[in-house]
Amino acid sequence: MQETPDIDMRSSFEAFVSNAEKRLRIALTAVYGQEDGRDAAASALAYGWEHWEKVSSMENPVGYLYRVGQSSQRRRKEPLWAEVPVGAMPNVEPGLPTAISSLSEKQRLAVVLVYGYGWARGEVAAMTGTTVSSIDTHLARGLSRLRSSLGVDSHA
Amino acid sequence: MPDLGNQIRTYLDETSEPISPDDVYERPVGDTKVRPLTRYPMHNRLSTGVLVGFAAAVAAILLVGIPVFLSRDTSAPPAVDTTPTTQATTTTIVVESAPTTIQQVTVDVAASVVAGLGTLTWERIDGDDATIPQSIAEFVDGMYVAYDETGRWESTDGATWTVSDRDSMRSAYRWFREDGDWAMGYSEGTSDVLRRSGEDWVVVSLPEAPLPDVQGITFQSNAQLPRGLQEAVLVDGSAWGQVAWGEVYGKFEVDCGEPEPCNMEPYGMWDSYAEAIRIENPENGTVLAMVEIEIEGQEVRFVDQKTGGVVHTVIGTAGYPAERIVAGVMRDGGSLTYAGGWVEDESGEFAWVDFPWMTHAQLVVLPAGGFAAFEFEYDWERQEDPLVAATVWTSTDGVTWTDQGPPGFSTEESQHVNVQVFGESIQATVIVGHNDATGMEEGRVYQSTDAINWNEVDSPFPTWIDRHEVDFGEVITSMPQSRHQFWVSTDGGSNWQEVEGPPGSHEPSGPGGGYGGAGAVGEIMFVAFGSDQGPRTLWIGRFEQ
Repeated sequence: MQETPDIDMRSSFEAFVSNAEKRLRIALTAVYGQEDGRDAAASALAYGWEHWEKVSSMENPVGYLYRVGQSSQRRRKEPLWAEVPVGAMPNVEPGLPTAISSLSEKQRLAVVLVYGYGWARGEVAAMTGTTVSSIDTHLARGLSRLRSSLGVDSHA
Repeated sequence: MPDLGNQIRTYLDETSEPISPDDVYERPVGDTKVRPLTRYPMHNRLSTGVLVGFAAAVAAILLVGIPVFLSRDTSAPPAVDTTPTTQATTTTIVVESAPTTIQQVTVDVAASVVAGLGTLTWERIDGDDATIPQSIAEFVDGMYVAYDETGRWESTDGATWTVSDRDSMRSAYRWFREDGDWAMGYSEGTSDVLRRSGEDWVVVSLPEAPLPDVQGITFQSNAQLPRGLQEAVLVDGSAWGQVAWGEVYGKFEVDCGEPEPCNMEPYGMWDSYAEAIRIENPENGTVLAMVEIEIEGQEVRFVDQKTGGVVHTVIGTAGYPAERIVAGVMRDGGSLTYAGGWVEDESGEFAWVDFPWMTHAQLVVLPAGGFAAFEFEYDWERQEDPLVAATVWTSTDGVTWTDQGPPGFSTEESQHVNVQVFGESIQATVIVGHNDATGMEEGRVYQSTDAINWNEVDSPFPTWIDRHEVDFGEVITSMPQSRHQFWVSTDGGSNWQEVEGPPGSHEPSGPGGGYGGAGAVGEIMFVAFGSDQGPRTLWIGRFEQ
């Protein structure tokens, strides 16, 4: 890690982390699972810190670091999804991790961010560099598959 | 039990540990380096599904046209005449066929009566990637035809298929119905444009594209544009280069001050459908530029990583053969805009043309002949109504284009506009938003027969649809939520009625993915499958009056 004595720089970076960390972590978790997604987000943030002068001046630093996080995951393997601890989350279907794992990466990203966390579709499109209509497609098909996997027929 | 959205949020909030700034500062030195990614085999990098989807999207672009010109300038419109520059060469290859017949089993049949249309009977056929093609390309001469990574599929009844050796077609994934004898295919890691001549396939070798100077920046390339989908042209300073699937090659002239190439290395993949390259100055190891190429739907994006404009320098749309226009590529973002493509003349030779329209355009073939390009400018930083400008260009020959001004339909408050042509009808779908309650896109639909005069029509279907022509009208299919939804129109799209979908379409093997396809007269055919490999389900719907 390079030395960065500039307190203002550290302060601005920490403000950025406070605002962007969860968005970045959840987006990458949606793609890679909890463990690898968090690792990818941490790598991306560390890259952001190393290059903070450049990253901080970007129009969309979260989108950029999302791509950095993607590139940090060099191998392709099936994401691991944490089980729902028995009794710890009574309002969560035990089959949810399995159902999530049945979605494609892009479907998971759309479903988790838009449906789970209330992102605007334009925000997801901006982060991933895709179009809103593409997000719509992934969202609808992902929800469809998710509901089918869970045996949920309604639009709940 | 809370709704699924809350469940997802609760689950991830409880199982994903936050990252603090201290976690970041404490990461080991070097652990943050953006590392090259492992390359993937061709079939993983660009799956047939993507190719089919891409080709279908491009076909939609190339097939239809739309606009009407509300604010038409009745004075003499500006015409742009470009000069053809090069000629084509061809190579002939012989297609060998080795069909294998596979029997399948019909597992379910259901029928429903559709008002005014008779009885709709759905037949469900379960199979897998060895027995059912990944998409249905068309129905011609009494035969269904499909292409996917396995090869060329044929069926006379829609249920039993024969498939030819993939090598015979070079894994062709697109049969260009526009003039009946086009295909795209792979050959040793590169793609070719094929045109059928009798029983043989001819590799159409397009001429090199002389890329123009745009705003003082010189584009250079010796790439061919259908292969140019795999091309990257760096425009940062004087750097340039090209990329092909599975290969990174070309030469680079970068800021290191020498005409000889600086170090260039494959940078790896960003995701399944992307490639990236990195150019590095050998003097000091500085990364001078990175380019990412990603195919998503109909878009080919060249993203300049050096500027950090991953999102907001989205560039490019490309198309495949649409009658005489073979390919086009555009670039926008920053101060650069650029579009061009090959246009075939009457002798069958191709010439590169610099299109006057810029940014994201939809190129369509008008029903009465000629072409229209619908140029849409989006501001994706705006969460709502990001479409900020629209312009229509028309051409009779693909070479000379006329600026017709804004389209003759309202794009107010729109997020996206999609232009399609079906038969003699041109349709523009203006999307204004997503209704979470219904799961449907909401917007306005306009229809025209001449691209000049437009009428708003009442249309219930969302944007992402499969539309099929049958003998009595058209059928639209869609999957807006947890079920397939089907609409039927018998008057060219002015009025629609929803009809019952096929049996089993609620099951996991159904809605998870799939592509619609053309059916025979009076038939709908729809393929759905859970993945590129594995189980597939095919439905055939037949109307009997």
